[in-house]
Amino acid sequence: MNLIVSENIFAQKFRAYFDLTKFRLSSTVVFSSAIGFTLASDKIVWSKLILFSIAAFATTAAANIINQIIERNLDKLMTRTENRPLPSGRLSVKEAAVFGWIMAAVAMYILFYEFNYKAGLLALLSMILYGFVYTPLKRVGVIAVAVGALPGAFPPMIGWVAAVNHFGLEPGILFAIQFFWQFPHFWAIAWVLNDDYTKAGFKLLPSSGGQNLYSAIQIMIYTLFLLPLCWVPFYLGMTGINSAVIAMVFGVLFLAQTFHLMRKVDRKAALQLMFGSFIYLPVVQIAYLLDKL
Amino acid sequence: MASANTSTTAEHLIWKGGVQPMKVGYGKLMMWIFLLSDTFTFSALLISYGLVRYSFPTFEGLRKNFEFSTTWWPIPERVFEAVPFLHGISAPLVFVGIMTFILIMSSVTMVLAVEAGHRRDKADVEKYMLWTILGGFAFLSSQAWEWGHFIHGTEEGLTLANGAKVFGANLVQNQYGPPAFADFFFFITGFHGTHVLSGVVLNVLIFYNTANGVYEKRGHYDMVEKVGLYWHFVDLVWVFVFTFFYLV
Repeated sequence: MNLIVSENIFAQKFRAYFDLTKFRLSSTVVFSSAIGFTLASDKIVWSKLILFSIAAFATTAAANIINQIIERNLDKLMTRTENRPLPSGRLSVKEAAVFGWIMAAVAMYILFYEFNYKAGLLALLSMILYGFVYTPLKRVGVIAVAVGALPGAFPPMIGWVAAVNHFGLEPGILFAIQFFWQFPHFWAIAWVLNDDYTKAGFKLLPSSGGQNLYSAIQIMIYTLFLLPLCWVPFYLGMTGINSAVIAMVFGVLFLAQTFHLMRKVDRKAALQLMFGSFIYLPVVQIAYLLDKL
Repeated sequence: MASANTSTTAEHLIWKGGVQPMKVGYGKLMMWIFLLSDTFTFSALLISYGLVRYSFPTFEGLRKNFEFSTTWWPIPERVFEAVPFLHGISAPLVFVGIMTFILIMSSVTMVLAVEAGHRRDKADVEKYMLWTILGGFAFLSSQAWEWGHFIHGTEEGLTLANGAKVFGANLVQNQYGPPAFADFFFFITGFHGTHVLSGVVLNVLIFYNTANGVYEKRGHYDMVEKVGLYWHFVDLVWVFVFTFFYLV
């Protein structure tokens, strides 16, 4: 009887730690960094790729844990986040902090010893930017989005640098695409979740009026940058022309969605743009990968 | 008058009315249907362009060593590299990039006009319609310059195998590549330009009606929205024309 109860507790704790890593979100980050890693490698070494993915996952998990520790009281205010391990009391702050340190240590050990210090430092920088700069800035205003877009766009760059141990235009362009993509992506989410965000005091939409036409126009302007950017990998000789055309077509459709939001200025159009952003980035990155030269 | 109630038409064939199909007004639905048919036309043009383009050989060798010839398809960024007032300077795709930007910005001012219409703010509708019309004219003038440059060609021209020289492009000869390249250029960008011209005419009409208070009296600015749909469509089509013609 006791054994069953303790097993149950163990399962609950495990579940809580698992939730703390924000597995789904972290996997998307791992995906884009693995794309950067594979694009840079001449041939895929699966053991290296898996090891790198573990490090990428641990880095993201650590950043998410810092974020959840700092925001534990705000998370209680929002229906979307009140069931997270910390606000619901499934884990104590101390448990989360210890787990966070372990994740960070694992990530840094792998990146510094198995890969190179440049990738390790970049990962450390994005962890700090996300946890200690972006998170507190969220209550200050829209500047948080620009700051948050930096760690959000580092993953493919870290992947590239981890694979070849030097910077260059190629990781820069992967970074730039993901950087500009963050704005429509993030603002579409902020639009959809605006009621919840207001409860916690987050004002993240670009216009002070919140969900209005001027926010929609700014979302469109940032999306516009994706159109010329998607051609740069082709002109740098990283990828062939087919992936550039695919990226352009999806970019145009993504841009059309922002025009749809400008016309409708409602939650439904924002939700469609949000799903559009979920589709755009993986499609473009997979296209680049398949069309690698 | 009992015969008035007995109809010879079968029950299921009679349009009942009293409903709003697709939850949009009649005019707007018809505009969507027109835009759909126009999509097919442009798709057909672009698909045929693709087929003919790949039935010609591409230049073999490095891009930087590219030379014009009537046997292989040209690299578009080498054809469209001129900008007004910057004679002799190679600026690949800069001018067409500016044109695209103008058209997209005019779509933005169109959205602002539609939004002003929702607020029934006559002065704002007029202001943004004027900007949209201006954008349309700017695009058309740029396209006229682009065509003029393409037709006149460069000073060097192209020397054929028999020693004859070709300057510029028309429907039968083309200094940049196979004549089919020029044919498609004239036809597709011309067809799109005609659409822009019709759009500008429609925009002027809307502006005229707004200024005369027609929509104010009518109580709604739905016409602005319908013409707005067309204008966005023309913009969207241009981005695809731009992609397939200038980038691929």
